[in-house]
Amino acid sequence: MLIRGRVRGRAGRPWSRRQRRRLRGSPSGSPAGRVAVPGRGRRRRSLEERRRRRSTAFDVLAVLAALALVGLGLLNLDLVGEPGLAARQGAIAVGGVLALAAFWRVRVRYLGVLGWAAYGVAVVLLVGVQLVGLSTKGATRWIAIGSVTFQPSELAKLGLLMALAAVLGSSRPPWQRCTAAVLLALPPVLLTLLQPDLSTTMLLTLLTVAMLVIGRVPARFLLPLGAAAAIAAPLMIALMRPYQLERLGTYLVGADESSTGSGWALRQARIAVGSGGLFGRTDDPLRGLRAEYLPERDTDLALASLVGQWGLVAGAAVVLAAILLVWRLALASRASRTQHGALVGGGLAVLLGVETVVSVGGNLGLLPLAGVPFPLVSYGGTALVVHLAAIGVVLSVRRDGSRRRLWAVPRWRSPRPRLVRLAAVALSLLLLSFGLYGWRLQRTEGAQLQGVAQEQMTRCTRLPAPRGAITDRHDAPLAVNAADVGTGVDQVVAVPALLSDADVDRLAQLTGRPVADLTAQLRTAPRTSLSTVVAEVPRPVGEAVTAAAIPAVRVTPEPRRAYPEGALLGPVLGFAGVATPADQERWPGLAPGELVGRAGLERQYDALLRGIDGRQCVYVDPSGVPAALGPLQLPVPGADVRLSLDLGLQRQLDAGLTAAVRAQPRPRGKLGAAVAMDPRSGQVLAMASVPSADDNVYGPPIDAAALAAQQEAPGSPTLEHVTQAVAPPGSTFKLVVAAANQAHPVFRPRQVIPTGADFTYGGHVFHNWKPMGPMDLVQSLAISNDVYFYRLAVALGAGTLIDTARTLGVGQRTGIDLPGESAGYLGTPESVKAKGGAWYGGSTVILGIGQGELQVTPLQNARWTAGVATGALVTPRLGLAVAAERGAYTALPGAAPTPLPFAAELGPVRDGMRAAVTGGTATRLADLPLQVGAKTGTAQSGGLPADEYDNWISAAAPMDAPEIVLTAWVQGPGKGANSATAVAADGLRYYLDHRDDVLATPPLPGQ
Amino acid sequence: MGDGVQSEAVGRGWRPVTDLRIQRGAGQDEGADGLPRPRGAPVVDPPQIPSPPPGQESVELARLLRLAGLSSGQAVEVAAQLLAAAEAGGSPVGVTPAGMVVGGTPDVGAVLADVVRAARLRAGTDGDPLLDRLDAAVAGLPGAGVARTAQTLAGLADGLDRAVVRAELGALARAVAARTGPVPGAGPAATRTGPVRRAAPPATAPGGSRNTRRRAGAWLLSLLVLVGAVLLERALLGDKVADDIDVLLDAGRSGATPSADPEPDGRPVALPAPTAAGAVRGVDVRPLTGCTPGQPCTVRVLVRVVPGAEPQAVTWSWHLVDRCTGAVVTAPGGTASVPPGQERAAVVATVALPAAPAVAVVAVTEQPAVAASAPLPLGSCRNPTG
Repeated sequence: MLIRGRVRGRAGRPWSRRQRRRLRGSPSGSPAGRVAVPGRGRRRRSLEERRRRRSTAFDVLAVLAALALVGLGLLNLDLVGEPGLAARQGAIAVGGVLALAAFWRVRVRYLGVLGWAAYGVAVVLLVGVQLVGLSTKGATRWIAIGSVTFQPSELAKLGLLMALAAVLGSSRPPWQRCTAAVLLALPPVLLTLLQPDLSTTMLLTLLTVAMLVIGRVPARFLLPLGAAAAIAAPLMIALMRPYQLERLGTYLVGADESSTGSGWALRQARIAVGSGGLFGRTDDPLRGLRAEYLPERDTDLALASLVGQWGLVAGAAVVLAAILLVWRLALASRASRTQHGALVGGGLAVLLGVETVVSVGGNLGLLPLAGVPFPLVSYGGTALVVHLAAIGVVLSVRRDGSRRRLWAVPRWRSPRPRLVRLAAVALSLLLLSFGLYGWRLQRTEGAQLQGVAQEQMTRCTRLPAPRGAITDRHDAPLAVNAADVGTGVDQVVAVPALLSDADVDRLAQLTGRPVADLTAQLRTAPRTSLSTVVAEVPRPVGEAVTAAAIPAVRVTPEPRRAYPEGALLGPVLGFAGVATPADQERWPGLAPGELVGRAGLERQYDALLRGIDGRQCVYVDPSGVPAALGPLQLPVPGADVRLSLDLGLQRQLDAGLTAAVRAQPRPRGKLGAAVAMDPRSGQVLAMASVPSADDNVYGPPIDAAALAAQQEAPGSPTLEHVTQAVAPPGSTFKLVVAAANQAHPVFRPRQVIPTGADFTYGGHVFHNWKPMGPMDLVQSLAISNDVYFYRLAVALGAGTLIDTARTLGVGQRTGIDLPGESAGYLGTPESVKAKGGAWYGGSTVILGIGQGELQVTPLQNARWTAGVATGALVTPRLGLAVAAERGAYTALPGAAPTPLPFAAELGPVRDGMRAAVTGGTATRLADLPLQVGAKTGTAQSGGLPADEYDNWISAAAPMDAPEIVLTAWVQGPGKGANSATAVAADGLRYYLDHRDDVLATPPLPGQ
Repeated sequence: MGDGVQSEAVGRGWRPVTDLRIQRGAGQDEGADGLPRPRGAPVVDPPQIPSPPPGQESVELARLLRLAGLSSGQAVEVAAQLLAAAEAGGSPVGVTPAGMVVGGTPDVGAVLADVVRAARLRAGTDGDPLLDRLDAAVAGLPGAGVARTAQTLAGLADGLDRAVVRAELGALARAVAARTGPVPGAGPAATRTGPVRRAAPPATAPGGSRNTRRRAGAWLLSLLVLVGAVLLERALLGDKVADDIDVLLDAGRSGATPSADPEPDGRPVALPAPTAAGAVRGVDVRPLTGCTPGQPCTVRVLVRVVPGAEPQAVTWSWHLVDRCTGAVVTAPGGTASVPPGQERAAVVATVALPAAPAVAVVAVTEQPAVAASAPLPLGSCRNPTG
């Protein structure tokens, strides 16, 4: 039939485009063969060629997508450090590609035979697995033939797929097709469940359901099956294995609540995906170590591994290739000439799509980690070969449908698979949304996940910062690190797992240890050890080891303090020790075992003395074994603290005080304290306390015996008596009473007051220390006339007297930079009443001579003496300056002196002090070369025998411009050479003799 | 040859574009699957042809006539039934799979002419006496009338094996329906050239409603059964299922350890500058003693710098952050000097803390570069009085 112009059909109507396409598409002998269009043969051939090219491109695209997936899987194996597995998988892939090519050429008529054969062999092998299978991790899934292992459940996927396609593609009534399909699915499903292989079981079940749907089994058969499954699902929990429960449970509760098992795997997968970036971290030297943290990185979590190594782009390529492959298979199913072939294609498309979705979802934590490998990407020979062969089968189906269109069964007899395109669309959208989720995960949590990844593989050991030194005002060391002064050692610390044999030899040579011993020690150390002390060496050796720069070897000073002056300043300096819970509360963030100041100045200036610890980090593998050295952060040494103390004066006061106490008739338990202070600034020049403790016993380690001896020794040697011991000041308090009279005049300074041997008030007689005549204020201070001050106190009244005492700091902490200072005690009528006592008239009388409701520390005594001498009240302080590095001192801030409101009226009081030296109770100080003023005192204390007293002296010099105040307190009879006056006299003499040296401190910035 | 053509037309799965009159080449034929098969192979009998989808869908007669040629016997049978139906007063529609002509039409003459023309299209019909008699009867229809012509044709048809002929017609109808697919619904089939319409009489509507109700009832019953099964499961196995779910969730929590991280106290403090910048390697603030918001606080400021050949002056200011509200106030700081060749300076300074339940102190260097210390938290938002 020759037709000019348009090709026309019967009744003269033109053929539709579809009809023309079909006509031209027939290879030969078709009705198209009757159509010959003159002048258009070339065009027809061109269209034919284009159609063939499209057909070829279709197949090539599918094959390329499959090969891309295989290639990326091989790349992943190589990247995670499994080149052997990569080579093996590559060899298997070659076999799989050959299988693909072979099945590509198979005739469709043999599909049934092929399907039934695959199904039968798979079922037989699954039975064989139960009999002779290999078991790994509690599951029996493999059959070994020589060195080759085989997983029949993978073959079961293909066999079941093709068998179901054969059954569902038949022309039997629907109920027969449905029943046969379900019966066919049962053997492989049950056999894989027995292995147990829940993931394959679920996939086979899903495959069966999918085949029933796309095989157009009516809904009236499917819905009851679905309902039965829904009802039975809760009961299936009881049948699940523990690891299956864990996987599903982890997904339900979230990976955050499970730190092990699948929770760990999920977390690692998220880290890998989130921290991979767009292009991965192939330049990261720790890439291999990071990869070790991802479990199942070659199988179930291969996608996460690939993203972690090569970035999101690689992951996107995998997902896109999978989508492309699914679409090719889905479309191939529509080109099939028979329903059997169509169902094979559609079923494989759904199977691949579901496998991909479950795998990607599991890798991202969006679906339970079901243990489904990524098709063609994950390691596994059987799955790879089976998948490639199945793709070959589907391509064969499509090829047949494309080349033999006119032999196609009528559509009503062979309807296309139901919902395949919709399923492909849904799976594609799902995968794309998963991809977007991965991208968003990187954008929003990438940095955090990178931090988590870094943190989980990093272990750091603390490098203790050297503690700063405490020196006197001339930089004489008072508290130092033991290793710095040769009394301690340096510790050589190594990371055993990172030491090479050469390192060990070198280390042994440097430390002087036999190589065998050192090697044995390192071998017995746990592999996970981050630091092992291999030697304790003197400083020069430690410096040599440091200079050798052996990797994984550090030298750290022994964390022990040394106090070169022993007990000289024991309670003042305090000690440093391992932090206690109280210290942890005081200094939040302390590292366990950190050395902190526990008492005295060590505690007071701990924030300065304690440095900032450094750290040596190592990277560990998932089992905790160090694999590489990490960042090193050197410690920042603590700052040095320079005190205002003069070591010479300190020694002088301590020696004088010790002599005074020892000279007592009963020296055991007797206390002595002396403090020398610059009354202008409050700088404490010396602070002696007897008896005193030696801080070296605190170590660490603590010398328990010595410490116990010190704690049990009489006289509380661990207490710092200048600030922590209190006693009635006796007549030294008369300076306060006299100052009160000047502030609130009741007696004129030169007003002579009758005194005598005693004073009667309220029916009570108060005696003078000796009978005396009428005297004025100055005379009374000089000779310490008790009756005068009885009268003055009564005249002033308790309130006025107490107010002035408070103004001069009595009964208050001085604010010295020492912890544990006592506030002393200054009673008032109100406070005494509050305690249940009564303030009598006599209370005021004896307060006039520094007894009764009054207890003061020697430092309080020195402070008010300085106040009287200078007219200003200072805040005593020991800390003078701080230096972050040697020599770079800056002044420590101190409170400015507070002028006394009655400073201008204090002249008579100072005159009295001077008179006491020139002709009163302190004439022992008269021969000093400066004008010294002083006030002595002797007080009775309930804690002392009747013939023993608290002997005081508080002196200032020179009185016209005071630059030193010295207060001494000695318990004892208080007579002769053993009095406190001797201590003060010797101390002042020393000061005057060494005045320039004592004060020769270089000026400080900010001072 | 006539029967053979019918068998071919019925047996092949041709699409509508296929010419049913095409004769097969000698020595070959096609099976029901459309594949060529050798002559002599068993021919599929008409009854074996799969029936169209359920229901008695008829094929539009005009459509059938366009697609298939009729034998003379078939033409006579069709004409006889057509006239009988027209006499009965029905409306012509088509041919059923049982070979019966259903319906009728007022213009029965034109339709009969089409029938005759369809029979004449076949090769070898010239001189067929039966066809000639049919042709004559049709030609005489206007004069003889429908009843008489019907009687004539009935007489002609009685000479046929009408059961066989009807079976052939039915097979033809099914074959055509298989090509095009019947389309449910009523309408003037005789005027349509598209898919064959189902000859669905309006009287089937009540039956359809019954089917719909029956179908809906079945679904409802199914739903009730499902709900009942779920309730029964819940009643009988509810506790066990709940226990199993607990086991499942507990298994998911295996290895979980409670977080040791303390609950955040107050708002996070945003640093106004990096912790190291330029010559400043780091700044550290540490309290010398316990500090309380609302009071002066003595702190140690440690500044680490890149050592220089000249003394380096470091200045800083305080950023005091109310951790409960996030409010920030700035206060003058201080200065420190780093000697040449040295890298650290430590200074003790006092900062007046604002009266807030919780404060964070941040030292921010201004010279030689802007860097911030880590925040020093003081006080608590949880226990403002504490």
